[in-house]
Amino acid sequence: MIDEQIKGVLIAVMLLLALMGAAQYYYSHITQEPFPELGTLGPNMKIGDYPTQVVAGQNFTLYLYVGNHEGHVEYYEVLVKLGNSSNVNENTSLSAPVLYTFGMVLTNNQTYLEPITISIPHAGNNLRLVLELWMFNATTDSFTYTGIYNQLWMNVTSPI
Amino acid sequence: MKKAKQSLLLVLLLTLSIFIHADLASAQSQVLTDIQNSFLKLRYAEQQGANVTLQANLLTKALQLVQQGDMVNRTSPSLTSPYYQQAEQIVQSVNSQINQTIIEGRAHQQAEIINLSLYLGLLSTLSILTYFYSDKVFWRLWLHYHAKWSVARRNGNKR
Repeated sequence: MIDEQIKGVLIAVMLLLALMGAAQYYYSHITQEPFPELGTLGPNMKIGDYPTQVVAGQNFTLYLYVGNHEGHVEYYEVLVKLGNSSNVNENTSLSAPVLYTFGMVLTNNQTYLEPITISIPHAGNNLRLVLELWMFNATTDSFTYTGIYNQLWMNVTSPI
Repeated sequence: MKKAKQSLLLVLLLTLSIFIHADLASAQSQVLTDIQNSFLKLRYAEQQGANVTLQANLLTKALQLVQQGDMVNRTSPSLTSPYYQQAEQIVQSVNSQINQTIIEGRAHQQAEIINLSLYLGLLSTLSILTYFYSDKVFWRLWLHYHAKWSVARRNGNKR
């Protein structure tokens, strides 16, 4: 007779394999920690070289990066706003008019990197260019603020 | 009389301009609403197991066209409508693809479940076979590989 212990080990190995197979199927369909990403890159497509002095009405280029790690397809909007010292944080979006809106629909683990051309309409010192990430909420049928934002401080001079 | 004609022409032009702006705003709003509806269908398709990457990219393309239309609208509103029309066409093409994508997604999901069931069934069968027949198989194999062995008495090793 084969030792009962050996038989037990063989069956345990098979059960383990079955569990691993089922777990792989289960975990391939769920995301543990869903999150979106927002990044703003400079004109050279790098984190840096951001414009700090611009002329009102003149175009400059930035690169917009958005990543979806929510586990399913999502519809995002990035709102570009111009503010000064108004409050913006994870809970409150900036209370300022929207200069531009960039929309994108991304599947899970898909990223978006595109150049965006922006011009500031008026001159001012210590202005904040704020990029906020908003996400479409199917329940409320509207966009909700994700609490993720980027900001660039800049001085805007009047055109000569 | 001439002044009255000029004033009338000005009023007509202003009215036309207001209508054009209202029409463009309505076209833009309609495309955005259609994109939202299309996105909701896409999400449903994904829940059914469909791969919606192609359709998501198309909707992003439509959104880029709307954005370009908005930019053009700031300088020359009369050139805007082709952008919104093209965006609308893309959304319609996505809508027409979704049903087929859902069917493919369901088939893919079913195939995944069948594969997993087969895998688990195979392992269960192997476990049962091991439990009941491992002795028989082991000793048969043992006999097969030791068939030529012979038993011999060792000299001077009496106990």
